[in-house]
Amino acid sequence: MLESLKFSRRQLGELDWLMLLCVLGLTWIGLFTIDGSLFPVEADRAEAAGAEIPLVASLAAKQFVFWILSLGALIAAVVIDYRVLKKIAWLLYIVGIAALVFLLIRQETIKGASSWFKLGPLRLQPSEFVKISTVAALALWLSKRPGETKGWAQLIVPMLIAGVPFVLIYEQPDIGTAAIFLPVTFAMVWAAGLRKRYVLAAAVAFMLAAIVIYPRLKEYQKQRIEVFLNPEADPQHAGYNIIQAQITIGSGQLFGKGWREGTQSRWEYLPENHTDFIFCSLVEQFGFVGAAVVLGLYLAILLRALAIAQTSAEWFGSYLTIGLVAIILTHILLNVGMVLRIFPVTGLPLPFLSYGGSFLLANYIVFGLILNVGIRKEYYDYT
Amino acid sequence: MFHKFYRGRIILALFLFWAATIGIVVRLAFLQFVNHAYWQELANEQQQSTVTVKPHRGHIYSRNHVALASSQQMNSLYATTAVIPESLHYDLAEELGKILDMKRGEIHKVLKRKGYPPIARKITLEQTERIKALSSKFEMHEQALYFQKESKRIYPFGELCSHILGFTEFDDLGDNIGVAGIELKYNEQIKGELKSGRTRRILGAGNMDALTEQLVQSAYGDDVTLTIDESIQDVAEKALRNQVNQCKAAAGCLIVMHASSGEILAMANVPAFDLNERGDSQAFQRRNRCLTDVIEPGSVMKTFAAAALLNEGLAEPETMVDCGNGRPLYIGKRAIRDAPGHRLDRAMYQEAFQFSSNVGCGRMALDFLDSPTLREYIQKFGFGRKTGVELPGEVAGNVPSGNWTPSTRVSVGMGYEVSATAMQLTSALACVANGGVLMQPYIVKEIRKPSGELVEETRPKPVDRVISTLASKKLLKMMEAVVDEGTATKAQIDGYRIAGKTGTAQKLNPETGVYENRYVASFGGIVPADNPQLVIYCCIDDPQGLKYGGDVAAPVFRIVAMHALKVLSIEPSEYHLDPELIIDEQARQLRMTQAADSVQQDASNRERQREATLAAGRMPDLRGLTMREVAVQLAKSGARVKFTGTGLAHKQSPAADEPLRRSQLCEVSFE
Repeated sequence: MLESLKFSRRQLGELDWLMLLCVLGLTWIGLFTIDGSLFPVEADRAEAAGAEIPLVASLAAKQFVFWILSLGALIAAVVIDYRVLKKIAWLLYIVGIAALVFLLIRQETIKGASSWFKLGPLRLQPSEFVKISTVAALALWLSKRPGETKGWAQLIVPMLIAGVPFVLIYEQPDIGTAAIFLPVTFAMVWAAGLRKRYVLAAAVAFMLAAIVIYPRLKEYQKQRIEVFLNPEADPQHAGYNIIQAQITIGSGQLFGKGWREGTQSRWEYLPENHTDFIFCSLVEQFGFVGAAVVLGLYLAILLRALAIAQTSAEWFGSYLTIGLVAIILTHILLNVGMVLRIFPVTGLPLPFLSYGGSFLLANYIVFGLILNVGIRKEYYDYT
Repeated sequence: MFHKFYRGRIILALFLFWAATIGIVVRLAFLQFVNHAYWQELANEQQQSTVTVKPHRGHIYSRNHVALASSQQMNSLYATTAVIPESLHYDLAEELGKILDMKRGEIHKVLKRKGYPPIARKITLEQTERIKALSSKFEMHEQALYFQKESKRIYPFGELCSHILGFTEFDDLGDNIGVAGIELKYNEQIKGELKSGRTRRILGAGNMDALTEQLVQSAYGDDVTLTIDESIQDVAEKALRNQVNQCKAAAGCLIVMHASSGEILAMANVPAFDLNERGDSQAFQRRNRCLTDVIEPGSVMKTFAAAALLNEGLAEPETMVDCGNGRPLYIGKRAIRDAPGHRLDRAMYQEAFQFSSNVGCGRMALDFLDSPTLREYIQKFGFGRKTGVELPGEVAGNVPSGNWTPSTRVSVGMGYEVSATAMQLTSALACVANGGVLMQPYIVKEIRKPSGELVEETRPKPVDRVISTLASKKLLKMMEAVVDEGTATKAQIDGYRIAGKTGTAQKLNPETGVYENRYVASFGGIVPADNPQLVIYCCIDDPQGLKYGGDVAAPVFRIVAMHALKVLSIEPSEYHLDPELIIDEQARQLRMTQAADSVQQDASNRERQREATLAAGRMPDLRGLTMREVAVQLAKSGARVKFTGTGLAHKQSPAADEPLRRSQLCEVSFE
């Protein structure tokens, strides 16, 4: 077991520094955007109350602390050999499920959902980590059956593995996070060699599921879809967020209004301007150029990660990487798609940028694991 | 180690990444560049709000910068009924009713309405505070009960200057429509404007920056400063009211004007009204009679006929004229008579003027003047046209048109067949006083923006030179005699030389066209006569009992003039007063009153004695009497009188207590 802690200089050389820089860059852009969105209001309030004007927005400072913690987690996730997961993947999966079940039984809700554990001053969202443990479990199951396979089991079993956490998270309710499991599972199964007819069957199954699920959606969830189709119908309430998001993006122009100068955020028109809608804040403050830089960084990370998946020494590492990339990619696409009104509002944060401790920590672990796979390309057998 | 298809799928994934990225960028560009204007417009719309500044009507100040009219910010109370829970309606209506002194049911009804209905207008700041406290007591939304400012016009002095200032009516935002007086005439300048500006807005927190000073200023109306001296105005109004009440007269007018500039220092009318309770007043109380009512001025008009005679060199004060000694002057069938007691025989023009002899003055007009000349002068003095003072409602009066018959000429020369306003008469008298230049009367001194910037300033404006300085001096001398020893001795003020002319005009009944035994008593005075500063004209309509201008109007002049002289620190004509008395004004007044009382008692004793003597058919002791008094005394005996000199009677023939026959010629010399 100690071998799994082996970390040589050679491995350090293998580390994908460029990808690491991209992630750090994104995090810092995130920190500045969070501060730029919240600081003006905080400063105005402090001034009005006669209090001392803070140096940075308080949540930006908090996020900085989370970032330091996340860096620690990143190092741990890189240093410990990812293949340890082969042994404990199922255990982690079961622990995660247990945590979700516990949350549901406890019925203690924050912001209308039972998603959080309180750990002293910290609030942890187990669902963020269940995503990782589920991906690890899936990767492990798929890696036992590498290459082209035939049976229905290839489709059904992964769906069951992902289905359990999906239902539990859906019941919290945190439909956005639950939704992640669908594309992630599909991406992994597809990468593992699912035949075209199964892909087709899966698509049909998905549509059937949608038909079954839609009438059972909660009222506000249905509303979100209706609003996506026609936000102007109710601009003050249901359509408010999405219209404000577009106003914010639409008034950004090429270089934006400048750091801490976003009027939509400053005057509190844009809701969730540091969490789900941070992309809007980013565009308003730093313009099209800022958005392009962020998208470029994401693309670079994903391309490098795919390269790692391709060059991994074994199926488990490769599938694991594919799953982790799928997590990040799904978040990015759903979030940016949401604010740009390409998809309905799902309430998913933007990786590395959005404010949120658990989310940042989880993303750094995800990223650490990808790096981990990247530096351990030779085959070890230590069974 | 991987299968080929696995690599293929990863490459496919790569393409998907690129496609997704391009899709996002295209969508982003679409929002940010193609549709930028649309979204920017939406952003502006919600981030800015229109803030309105309520109009604020300007002040009206007296010449000493005392505010005669000002605007006060009051609040109107509105409800946002959507945020008031129905369960609160009853209690809220109850409590509001207590504060606003309204019925609960009334408020309850308002609360049931949708939208933002008004609950009450013009509520005070104190009520506003109590309602705010109520709002927090019920823990209501802060917009549940909200206030809008609106202005209320305040007249701090109530009745003072009521006819000059006029008043305002309500528009949507408060008292802002001038409907009379200065408020009407200068409405455009005084009225405030509803102004609005854009300001940035924080969602839920309200407006974040103040409107520009300039914009706020532009919502405020200009301030008007009048030439009125509030102190003189006050005394004028009170003195006039007292006299009108005492005489049981119908109405009265009084104007105080600065002789050389035409500035109006006071303009009083009775009946009057309280500006703050104008709703209770009647139209007849609100009329500014000084401008809107014409009178036949009567004998005051003799001044202007005299001005024509003197200025044209047609007559001198010393020109002798036959005053008929009680016989009327016949023009065709028309007989012009003197009032009883105005009986003079052949006398100097100035004497005829001094005692206001209709026969004497009529004969002067008949013999020495021609109609066109008199008309020219009458018109040059400003009769028959509006003076143009800055107040609404002025009328022009009437000067007869066409060819004047001699009868008309005589009539006009003594103030009949011509109608004039008090304003015209005051202005014409000021022309006589200031050396012969008719000045444009004015009441607005200046108009300033609230910032203090001068918008408009009235400078004294000469209209026309009417008579020469010399003629003016001669005329003033004749007028001085009127006050010294003529018909207006009651206008005398210790220490000041005063010129004036009385008028006692019979009123024409407009329905029957017949002159009735009702009068307009008037007096126009100029003080000090040696250095004319003030012109005060006072007329009293239909006094009961005493009817002569010298008895009814001259005392009012005296009171107002005494006060004005003091207020304006106009130096006495002669410096024979004990300086101590000047300093101790109160003591002086008291002593004067006492002295006047004893003199009056003394005088009435002597008068009784004289009357007894006369009744016994003997000559009374006339020494110490004025020319007029002598004339009045002897008129009772039917004796003819010849006067020599001016001043007080000092020698007489026959001597006192000698028998006096009817129509015997008495000679009295004065010095």
